[in-house]
Amino acid sequence: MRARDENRGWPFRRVAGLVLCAVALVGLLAIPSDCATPAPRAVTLALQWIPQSQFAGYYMAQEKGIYAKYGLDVTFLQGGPNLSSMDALLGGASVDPQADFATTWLTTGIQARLEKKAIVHLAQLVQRTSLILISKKSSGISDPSQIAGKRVGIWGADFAIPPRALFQSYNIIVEEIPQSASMNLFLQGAIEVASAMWYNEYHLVLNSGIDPDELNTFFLDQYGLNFPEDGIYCREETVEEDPSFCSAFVRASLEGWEYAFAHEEETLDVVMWRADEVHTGTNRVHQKWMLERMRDIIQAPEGTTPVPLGTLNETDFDFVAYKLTRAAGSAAPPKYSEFHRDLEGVGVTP
Amino acid sequence: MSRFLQALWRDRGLAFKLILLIFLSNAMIFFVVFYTNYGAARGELVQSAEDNARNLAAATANRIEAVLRGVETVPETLANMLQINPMTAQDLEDRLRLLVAQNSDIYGMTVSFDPYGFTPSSLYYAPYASKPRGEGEPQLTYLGGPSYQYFYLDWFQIPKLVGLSLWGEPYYDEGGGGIIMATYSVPFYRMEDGDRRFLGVVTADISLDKLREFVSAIKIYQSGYGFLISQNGTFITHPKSTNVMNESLFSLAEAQGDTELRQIGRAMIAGQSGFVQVAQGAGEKLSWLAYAPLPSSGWSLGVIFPQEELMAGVVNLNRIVLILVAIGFTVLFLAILLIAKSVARPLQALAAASRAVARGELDAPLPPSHGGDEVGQLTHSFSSMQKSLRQYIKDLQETTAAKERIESELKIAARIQMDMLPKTFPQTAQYSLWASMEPAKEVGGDLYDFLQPDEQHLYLLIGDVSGKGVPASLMMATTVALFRAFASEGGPPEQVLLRLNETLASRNESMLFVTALCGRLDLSNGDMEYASAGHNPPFLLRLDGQVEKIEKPINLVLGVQDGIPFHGGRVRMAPGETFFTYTDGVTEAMTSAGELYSEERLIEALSAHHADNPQELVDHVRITVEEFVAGADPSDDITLLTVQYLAPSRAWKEVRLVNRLQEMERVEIFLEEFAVESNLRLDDQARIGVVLSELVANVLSYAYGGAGEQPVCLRMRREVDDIWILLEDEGTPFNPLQQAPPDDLDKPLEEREVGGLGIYIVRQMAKRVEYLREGGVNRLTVVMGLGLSASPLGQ
Repeated sequence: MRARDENRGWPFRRVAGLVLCAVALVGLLAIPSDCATPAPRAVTLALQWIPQSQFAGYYMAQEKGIYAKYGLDVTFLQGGPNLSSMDALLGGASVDPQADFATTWLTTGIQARLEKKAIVHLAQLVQRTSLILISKKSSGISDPSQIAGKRVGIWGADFAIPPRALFQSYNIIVEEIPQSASMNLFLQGAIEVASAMWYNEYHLVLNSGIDPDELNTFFLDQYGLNFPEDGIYCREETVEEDPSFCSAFVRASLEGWEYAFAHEEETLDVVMWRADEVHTGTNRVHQKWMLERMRDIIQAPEGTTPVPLGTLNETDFDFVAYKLTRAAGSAAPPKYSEFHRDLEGVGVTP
Repeated sequence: MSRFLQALWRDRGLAFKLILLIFLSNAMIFFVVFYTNYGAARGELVQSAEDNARNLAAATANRIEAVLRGVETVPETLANMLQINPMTAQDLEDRLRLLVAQNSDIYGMTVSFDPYGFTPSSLYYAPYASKPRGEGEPQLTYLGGPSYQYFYLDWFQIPKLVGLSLWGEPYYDEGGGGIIMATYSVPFYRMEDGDRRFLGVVTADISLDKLREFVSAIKIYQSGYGFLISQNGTFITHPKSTNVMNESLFSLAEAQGDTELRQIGRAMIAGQSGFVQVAQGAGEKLSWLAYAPLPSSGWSLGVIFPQEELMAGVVNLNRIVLILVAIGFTVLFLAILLIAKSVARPLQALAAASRAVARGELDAPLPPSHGGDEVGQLTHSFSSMQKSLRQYIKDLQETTAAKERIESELKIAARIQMDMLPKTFPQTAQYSLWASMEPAKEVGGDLYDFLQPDEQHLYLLIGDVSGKGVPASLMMATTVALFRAFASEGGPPEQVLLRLNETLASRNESMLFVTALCGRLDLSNGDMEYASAGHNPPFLLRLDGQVEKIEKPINLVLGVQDGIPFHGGRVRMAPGETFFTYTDGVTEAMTSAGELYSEERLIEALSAHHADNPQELVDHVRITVEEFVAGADPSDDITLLTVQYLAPSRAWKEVRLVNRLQEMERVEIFLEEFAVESNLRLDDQARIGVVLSELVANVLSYAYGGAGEQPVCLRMRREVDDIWILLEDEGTPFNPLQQAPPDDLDKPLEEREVGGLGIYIVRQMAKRVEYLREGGVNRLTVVMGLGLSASPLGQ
């Protein structure tokens, strides 16, 4: 009964919330419109994956009118296993740049800088690496060194960087198998080790009927390989031309994240709607798991000094930059100051 | 608490108890039957439901399996052909179209080559034939492109890596159908230079709509349904479409926090079959789930049906049964109430009537009797009891009256009998006698008597009849009567006892016996003869204070055996000595502590008061006994009989005269002689002479009033220090003592009337003067004391 009541209560609460927000928006917009604020500026954000809680903050910034508040009208570009958000930001061989901003991993961003691509890091959301390697205990792999020679599912593009760094540090060679978005390769026994995001595929495996105690997991940051993940990037020219535009976008996005963490169920409604729209084949408990893990990796871990949302820790940057520079055989790692651009109102304690 | 309940129960009426007990026992029986029945019905239903569900699941699984296996052969055949002979693109594409067109279950097919596998010049080659949306020939498209790198997809990569044909996880196909597909993938190879080279994958797609039709054909009751899950537990078909491809059994289990559901899901994807109870959603109704595996694909088919609907038949039946029971119980309640009331009402009336009877209202009306049931019988019995009681009370009253009459007669008898014992005791010159008896019961067994048949002898009797009550008192009366008879005939005491014994023993039917002591005192000399028949020995109180116990001889008690001899004894008593007899009631008088008065105390009392006269002595002994027992009820009659010998008896000296004054001379001569015989002193003789001359002359002159010769008798006797004078005539009644004292004492003698002065003088001189008219005889008795100097008697 209680569950039903809650279910019945949801739409009401949601409507009430919307009404409140609408009232707030009218209040906020009333003055700028009177002051002749121009029509919202169209903005495209390239997300590095399919719609899910990983991007809950951006969705909520859009959904709750936070972007609109900053004079932005954001369109999301969906990513995928073989659809790099960097490509969307920078344009491909014969493709024009599609996006104004992109989310991607720090590794991807630094890699792009090493390749002399004109991108700039604006804000760092995920502070810890959540990419893990998993294997069934029945495979007998309990230590990274035992991965040697095994079929290991590796995602394309920048998803391959952290696992490869691990193999490199253990000095092992593995049989890399391109891994699709699903875990079926792993579940059906085609590969012994799979890449998995802690907030996503790990939980998918659990909800395919495999119990946690039947799995061995390798968290890369526990092996000294902390690769901070999602961050917000733009082309150099964009921030050069209009830093306030970038600042508005980043601040709105961060506000969206704060809202998402504070309003979990409402956020899940939005995420589920966006997921169902493109038939991602997901469910609410999974997105809930993901949202909770995002909170874990975006906010500072317990016991550490909290950093303002969006801050890129320079030490983390230096580590990743060093690792990637060495792997690429380049001599000079990018400088933090060149890679990252401080924006007004970002990375500071409000 | 239980005491409270007990009290509550005890004070309740019959109706309440009946209803409660019958209700409780009925309810208990009903519920046992009901639940046994319900349990059995439920068990059977569940069993049949399980059979049904298992069969349904297995049958449906088999149908799906048949379709899947039918589909599987198509790509497998094509793959075999491709392994043997390479085909041109045209041939391949034609054949694909043909196969899709020919196989209704197949939605689409592709032969997808490994990168550069078909021609070295082409990264992608994957012709895909699929059914058109409407009518028509299958369409042909080519898979592969930057956004659809098919060789990284599961349906391609998994069979390639595993090396086996298999069904993949259902998916939304973005490149081909744009619908949910399940794909069967068959890898194919070609032998090149002894190596088996992977070339690509032949697939056949089936639409999930096709599978859903089979599963949705499963209908059980109202809301029972079937569902299909993939090898990952994801719903392939489900009545709730949003679950399809989105939720899995495990995500549902996590959302509901249902670890059991997760275990069921693991069993299902592990290829097991089973029948279990599940909760559909948190707090939802219970359901049963039967599941069966689809071995070729690793999928699993589940059949759900809600328990509520399964039980609907039983529940309906139960509802009807419960309604019937409620009606039945109501009827039962009313019936019991009616019976209980019909039983209780006459019972209450009877109870009221019996209370009335108990108060003594024997005529209290009874409630009317209804027929021959138990209450009727009870009423009838009660009625006859009432009648009997009335009769009984009546009889009892009569009997009591009769008994009371008898008792009062007995009391009278006892009084009469007590009256038989003499209550006045003679005090003569020769002896003084006193007796007392205190009966322990109304009619005592003790007896005493005395008799003086002649001038010389005094007979005494004291006795004790064994036993108490009426028989004993009758025996006592007989004994006393016989004693009087025998004693008056004379003879020594042993002879009296002998005759008593003979008579009593011959008629003693009730075998009572009598102890008795008989004595005969010779008044002339103080000899006391005695005989004892088993009686307490008497005491002789001597002048010097000695108390002699007279124990011998001993004889048997009276009334037991006739023909036995009796022996007597004899003691001489001096004047002033006392013979004391008693019954065992004296010595056996008992205190409440059980101490006896005893012979010692008796002797002590006698010795202290040996000089007392018999009355004082008897009173004294009685007082000491009373003081001793101190209020304890006497256990036996207490009887005392005492005689004190005073003096030897003397005979009267008599002279017979006629009514002539001349006879006075003879009177003078008579006095002279008497004076000599009785040792009178002259002055005493003179005084007597004065009295005699007055009295006798008076009688001679007036007694007969001048008639002819009539007799006048004068007697005299000395009793120790007294002279007794008796003057008798048979003349007209005349009491000289009634004459007024003379009023002419001052006149000279000659002038006064004769007689008046004479009586006056006599009264002055005599100790006692008595007149008695008896049997036509005037008797004047005069007692005159002798002077101090009178000589002692007999000297």
